[in-house]
Amino acid sequence: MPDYTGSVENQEVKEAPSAGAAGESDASREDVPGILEGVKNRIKEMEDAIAGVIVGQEEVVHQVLTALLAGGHVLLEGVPGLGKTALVRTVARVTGLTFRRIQFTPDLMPADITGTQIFDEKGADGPFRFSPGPVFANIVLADEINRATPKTQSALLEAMQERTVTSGGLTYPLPEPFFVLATQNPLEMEGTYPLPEAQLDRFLFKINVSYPSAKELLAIADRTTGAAEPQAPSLLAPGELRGWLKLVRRVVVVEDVIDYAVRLVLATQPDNPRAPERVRRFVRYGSSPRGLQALVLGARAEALREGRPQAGYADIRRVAPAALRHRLILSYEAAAEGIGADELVAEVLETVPVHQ
Amino acid sequence: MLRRKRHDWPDRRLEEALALLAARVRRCYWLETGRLVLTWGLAVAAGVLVLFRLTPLYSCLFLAGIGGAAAAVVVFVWRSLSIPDALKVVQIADELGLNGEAVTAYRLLEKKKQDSWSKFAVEKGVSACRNLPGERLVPLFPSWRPWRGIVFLTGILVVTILLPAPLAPYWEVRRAEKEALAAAARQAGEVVAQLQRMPPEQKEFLPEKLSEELDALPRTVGVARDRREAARNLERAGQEIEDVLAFLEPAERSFRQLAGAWKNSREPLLKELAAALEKGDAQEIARLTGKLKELANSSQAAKNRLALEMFQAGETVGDPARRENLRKLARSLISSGGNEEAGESGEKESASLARDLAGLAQQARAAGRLARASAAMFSLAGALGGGNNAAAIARTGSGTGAQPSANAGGTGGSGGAASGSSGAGSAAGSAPGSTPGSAGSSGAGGSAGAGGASADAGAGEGTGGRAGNSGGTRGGSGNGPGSGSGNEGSGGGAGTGAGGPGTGGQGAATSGGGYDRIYAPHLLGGSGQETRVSGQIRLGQAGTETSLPDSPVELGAIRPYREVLPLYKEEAINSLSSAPLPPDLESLVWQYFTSLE
Repeated sequence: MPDYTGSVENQEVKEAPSAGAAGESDASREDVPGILEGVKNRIKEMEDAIAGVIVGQEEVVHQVLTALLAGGHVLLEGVPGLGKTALVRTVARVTGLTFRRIQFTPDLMPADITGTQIFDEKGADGPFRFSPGPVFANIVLADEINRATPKTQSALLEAMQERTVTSGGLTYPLPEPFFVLATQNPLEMEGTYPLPEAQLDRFLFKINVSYPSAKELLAIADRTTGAAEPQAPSLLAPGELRGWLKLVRRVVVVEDVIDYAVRLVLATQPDNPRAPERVRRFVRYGSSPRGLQALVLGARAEALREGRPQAGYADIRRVAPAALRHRLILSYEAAAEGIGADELVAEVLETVPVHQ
Repeated sequence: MLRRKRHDWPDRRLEEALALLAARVRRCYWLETGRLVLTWGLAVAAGVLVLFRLTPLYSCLFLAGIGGAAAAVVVFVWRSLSIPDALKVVQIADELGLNGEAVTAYRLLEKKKQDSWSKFAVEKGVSACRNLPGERLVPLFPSWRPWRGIVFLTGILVVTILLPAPLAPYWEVRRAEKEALAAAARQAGEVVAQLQRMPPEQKEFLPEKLSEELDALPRTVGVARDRREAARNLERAGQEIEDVLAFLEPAERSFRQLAGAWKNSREPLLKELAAALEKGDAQEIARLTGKLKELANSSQAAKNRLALEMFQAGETVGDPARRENLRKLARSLISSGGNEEAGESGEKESASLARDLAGLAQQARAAGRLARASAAMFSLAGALGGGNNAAAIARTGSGTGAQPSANAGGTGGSGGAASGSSGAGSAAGSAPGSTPGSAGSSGAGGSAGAGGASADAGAGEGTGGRAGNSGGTRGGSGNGPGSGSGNEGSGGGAGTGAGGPGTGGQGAATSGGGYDRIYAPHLLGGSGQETRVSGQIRLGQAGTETSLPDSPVELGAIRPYREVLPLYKEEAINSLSSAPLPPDLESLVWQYFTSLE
């Protein structure tokens, strides 16, 4: 395997001797309350650090951190200028992970993202060697992802799902952890291409970034136009986040809670008899099993960040909009009537009982 | 499997932590069960009462009670099968704000998970259950609002019980009508069954089509839309039977006349023949008619008497062919004993008469049955049309012509073929009819007083249209069972009276007062001068004169009528035998003597 790691900064990360590592070593004697409390406090510190840079958008920050804990990719949607890029950059900085930004444009090629084979007649392994693209980082910001053509957008498919890149017949693993935080402008804007459904499905959450309030705008003006621009500190030790990713999967989710998530997912499918009437009318395709995975993982992450050993119904309900909204492919009738996915997900949450 | 799988407490700690909640949940469950039991019981009872108000069972409190109790029991059993178990209590705890901590603890305890995360989750869950805030607990007593439904339903129940059903009269009428139709159908069925039980030789007079219609009659009456339709069906059937009767009526009348005439005859043989006729015994009739030829060796006077009876009987018979048969037999009797040819002729005529009389008897009996059936049909139709209830209709059926005694009584009236105008006065049947019979032709008393030209005797008297027109000297009883259901649809009553001694004879008695004493020229005595009368003796015979050697020429004496009449009659018979007259003139002679008697 070609040695490309040197070209990517901070590629070699060491797992910190965090609570997660301890949890793995001896399950029966670990101090679970202590671990959970530690994680909770650290995440609170992260949130505070991010809040020092990003004004408002608490819910967005919350969901982004939840997605990071769950190990999933995030799609941020909002009009330009809402601080999406700044948010991602801040999160990357706070987590202390390697960060690359890719500005998606219509003429961007897949190789511009994944990397390409370059000629090197002095190469030890042959005349060609693989030059990694910007995707080789812990956190990749795919900025305005929907401005590139679907072909280029699809270049991220393998990276997002398999966490590998294949070039010249060889497969290169991406660094762990690997997150794609993509931003996109609303589809109604000029020069945008809709993301393929397959790629949309690979985002754990889709987070809508809304306009800041007047008070937040005031703070933004004050904070960003002064002499010194605030910088977030790098809080996490190398490997600490990776340890948390493992802890997330140890959070207990009993079958009753999973059953609730299953029923939510089924209720988004228009051919399901238990789906609400409006779902059957306005949804063309409902959530895939990845939606269920997103719900359960998101719920686990929510529980972990709140220091709980178990995830519950409220966790499922909290992550449901972000986990399901981009997985509902709506009909033209919905578009004509101005029905959005959020509205339908809310209806699903309203109609599906917690207990069967 | 109605009963769901019950989940017990997997661990004492969780049970204790949720003990208070579990107790309240169960109490609320049983309170709710009570509310549901009451609600459903009252709802079903009220529903049954409300629903039954639209049906004939408009006041069926018993069924409403049964329905309500059944609903209450079903709800109670159903609720008893799903008493909240431990898992349900745990779920309720989660719904009260525990965010799945309770159910997580329950499941982990159930699976006996021993890893540190599970243990911590259980500990946290049990602790959360134990600290479940009091205000979130299920209230000690649930809201009273759902119980308002019970008050509402109770109100409906009370109203439906206390308020009269507006459709009750309608359904009462419908029920009475149905019962009436059923009773009428039953009675019609009995009448039809009696017809079907007729012997084959009588049944042959019933057309096959009519027989089929009669078979279907009880059903058509039973399923009729209303009384009117049923009555129409019955009337139609009665009318069709009447049509058959019209065909049989001459024979039946002849039968009655012959039987009546011969029953009062002085000749024992004819009395026996009358009895055989009434029985319809064909063999006996043949035997007795065969005995007639044995009279050939008796005295001429006896033969003359018998011949006279035959002639007289022939005169009462309306059927010309039968009348001629009787005349021939009478003549053959008079002329029998002389030669062999006359004997053979008499034998043939007696055999023919036997067959004729046997057939006549069967027709008469069939007519009698049909008349009773027809009367019954009209009576039933009248009873239905008159709005009688089922019991009255049933009584109507039992009184319509089906009683043998009534028929027997009616037979008595047949003797009164009175021609005397004054004799018809009081001959109407004395049996009280239930309704004023019209002058129609279908009185139930048809079997009685068959001779009646005075069908109007029943009018206004409630007596049969054909009943009791008897009169005359024989004192025929004219009090046959009067019924009087007219064809015109007036009253449907049927007489039930059996025939008794007639009263019609009184009329004859009063009218005959002028014949106490009579002038008897034959008893004048002495011989007169020989008188010659110019003219032809008889058409086709030679001669212009005849001698009357014994013609009285002197004044006679006044003698009692009954003393003189037989002499006159005998003389007339002798004269006729020696000097036959043309048939119509001969008939006049017989009619004359018959009328005198």
